[in-house]
Amino acid sequence: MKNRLKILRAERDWSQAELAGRLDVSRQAVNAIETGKHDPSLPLAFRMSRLFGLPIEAIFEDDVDG
Amino acid sequence: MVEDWGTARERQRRRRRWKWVAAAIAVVALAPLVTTFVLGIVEGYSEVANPERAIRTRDHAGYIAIAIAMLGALVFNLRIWRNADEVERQQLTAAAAVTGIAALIALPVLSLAQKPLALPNPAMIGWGFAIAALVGTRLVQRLRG
Repeated sequence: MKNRLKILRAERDWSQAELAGRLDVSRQAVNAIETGKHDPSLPLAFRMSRLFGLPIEAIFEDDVDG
Repeated sequence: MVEDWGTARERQRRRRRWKWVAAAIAVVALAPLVTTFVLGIVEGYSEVANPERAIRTRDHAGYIAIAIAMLGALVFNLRIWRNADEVERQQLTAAAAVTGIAALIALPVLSLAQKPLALPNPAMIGWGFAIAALVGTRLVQRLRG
């Protein structure tokens, strides 16, 4: 699953550690999600949505076409 | 430079995690020393008090120490699990799976090879393989993270 996490983080001038702290996860978790190694759970996706003030579909994009 | 609150929170989280990891390592490392020391004192006192009914622990001290070390490791690993986020839990689950598979393969193979290779203790060698698999997997996970 693709995501805009890195862009959204850069727009706010946050480090991975800063975003991790705001989401209450480890820096490794943020890195794994940004690089597409891990798809976040629904509760974590909702936390991201609330943090950035964006709907989930504005942060995550399904890889499957159509 | 003033640290952002998110960064400070992440640092506290990391510190808390390392505290529990250090505690788990300390318990496993110190359990044999402390257990045998305490059992030695108990045995000595009981022998002075009544030599005929002295408590004999030296034959079982190793087993008791291993049991205490494993119990301590279990308790502290539960704490680590509770503090972990979903990525860390996924990694811990994967590491546990690799450890289990290593033991699953190593133990019967080493048992079969015991006679031809004259292995002294295949169960302990298999356990060592499993621990090596666990440490190796965690190292790879840390390097890739």
